[in-house]
Amino acid sequence: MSEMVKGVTRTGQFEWEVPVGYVPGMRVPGRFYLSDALTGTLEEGALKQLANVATLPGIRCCSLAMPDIHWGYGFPIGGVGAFDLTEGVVSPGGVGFDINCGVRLLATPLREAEILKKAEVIEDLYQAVPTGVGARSSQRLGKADLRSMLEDGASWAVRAGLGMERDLDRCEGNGRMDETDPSKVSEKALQRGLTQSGTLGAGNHFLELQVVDEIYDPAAGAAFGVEEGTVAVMIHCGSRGLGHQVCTDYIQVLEAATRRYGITLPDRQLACAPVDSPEGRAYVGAMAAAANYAWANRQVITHHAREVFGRRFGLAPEDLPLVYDVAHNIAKFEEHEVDGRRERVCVHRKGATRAFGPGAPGLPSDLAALGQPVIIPGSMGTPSFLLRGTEEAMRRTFGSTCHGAGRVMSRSGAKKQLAGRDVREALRRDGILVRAPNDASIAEEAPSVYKSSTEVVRVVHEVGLGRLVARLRPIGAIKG
Amino acid sequence: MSIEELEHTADLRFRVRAPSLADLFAEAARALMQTLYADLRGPATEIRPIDLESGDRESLLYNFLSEVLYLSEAENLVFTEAELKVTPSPPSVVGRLVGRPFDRALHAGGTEVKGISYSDLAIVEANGEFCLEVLFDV
Repeated sequence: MSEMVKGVTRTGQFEWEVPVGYVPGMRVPGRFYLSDALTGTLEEGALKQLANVATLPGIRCCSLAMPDIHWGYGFPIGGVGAFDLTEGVVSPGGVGFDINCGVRLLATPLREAEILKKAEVIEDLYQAVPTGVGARSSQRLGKADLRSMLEDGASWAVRAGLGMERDLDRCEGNGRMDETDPSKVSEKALQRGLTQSGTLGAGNHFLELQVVDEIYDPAAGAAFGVEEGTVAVMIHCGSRGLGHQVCTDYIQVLEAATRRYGITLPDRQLACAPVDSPEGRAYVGAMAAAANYAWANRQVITHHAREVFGRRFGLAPEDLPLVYDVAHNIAKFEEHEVDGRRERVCVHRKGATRAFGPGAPGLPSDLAALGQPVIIPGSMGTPSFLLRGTEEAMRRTFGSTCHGAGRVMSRSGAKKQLAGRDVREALRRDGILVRAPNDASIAEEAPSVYKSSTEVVRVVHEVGLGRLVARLRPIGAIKG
Repeated sequence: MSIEELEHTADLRFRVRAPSLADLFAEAARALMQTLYADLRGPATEIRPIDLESGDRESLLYNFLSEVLYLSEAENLVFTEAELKVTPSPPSVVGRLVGRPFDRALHAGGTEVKGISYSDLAIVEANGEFCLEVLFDV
């Protein structure tokens, strides 16, 4: 490994440990998973953030990071931390601004050759799903609707005719967090939420057309509903301005609480409060409400996508079944084995995906023996992957795995080195059509600014933090 | 006064320099608006007041930029200028933001900012000028 990761110990072929003492005040070690090929991408800032998380009160086992670890704010991206419910804390810095940013995958019966006018299909999707900075919802939401979204999550959208009951069965936690408390969401957050339902956002958010081009695990593939050679739709977005405002509000609240509870922090973005405190409970209630908004939001976008496929190809909504929907910025209450006994803990996943193994609670009954479907997006030009959760992930990482490829180049570096138009043309030559509001946003998200999704997922598969089920090749995308 | 973009893998990090705290805050707001909308040209037709207090100047900056972001997104406004008075003790900022309604034809060239991060947020004063570093989650 390079000089900048001095002080880190290799503890396995893909496992590395950041010892207590790497930064002052660490209560447990840090642990991350990388192959030799990926170690060159590791930044000192990410390691420091991993170590900072280990200083938080009540952290159990260790501060963890997945193979897509990179430098973020508060927790590193790819970070996982589980906290005791009595001694431990909850922190917006372990969830992020985009609460319940997540990914869902829809199957279709179409073959790639049947998408005859791909540019027109992409344009239809771009027109159907409000995208980019300043985009406003095509829905007219009232305050009662918004409250129902925060209360009920994806099921609000299904009740409103924007989905099917089966969709809920294929969402993590049925597309809802029970801890929701809309009364803890500020007026500012509500105002932002009213106008952005069903919008995609910008940055790395996307709606992508893909082809299932390899099945690694036929039994799981069949059970998950993906067939080799068929087209799939992947949607990546979160809780929009409502979630961003919840995070902003509660960092202010928990900053004050941190001082009140005498907690010393290495980074103010890790502002936190005991899980079992008025401030901690308030944040959890608001965060869960924002998470529910995000599930409803992805459901609305799903509806728009199904409408486009209905108009273009005569498909019914049931012809585009939901494979699964996962959150990758969230804090959840789960039972795990820690130090040889079962404990209920608050698991923070910041750019990390739940990957529950066979027999874990809350899985759809027909998938219980296989494990949870796990969706790992690549980039516009590199494959995404469908995996299944494992017992190994339950044992090692509180049932968690990576959330994507992970960036290696800054956005400013990307814009300096890459012209958006060139990236667009290179993708087109590879058969990938991209529709975005501007070329700069394409340059910022070019395939070369990310680690190899194939290598990141290989590490996940080799370590056992997920088992490969299928690979999905991109053929087109709309981006914000 | 200057706005310099620093390296950060996932998000956008800026260093801003100005001769006074008021100019420093106004320039930080400009960095935020340029990130969101890229092009800030055009006549200003809207005014929104700012009146905030906080425990220290870093949290004041966090609150101020978060408020600018909120007003811009909630009211669909692009702020082109901030006229501010910043008092160091107790830390407060009063003044106004001036700008214009968002116009997709003019302002769609930027990227969304999800929030203002406290990570590595710092304001320092040296050699008669103020300098801050701030990270925007994008």
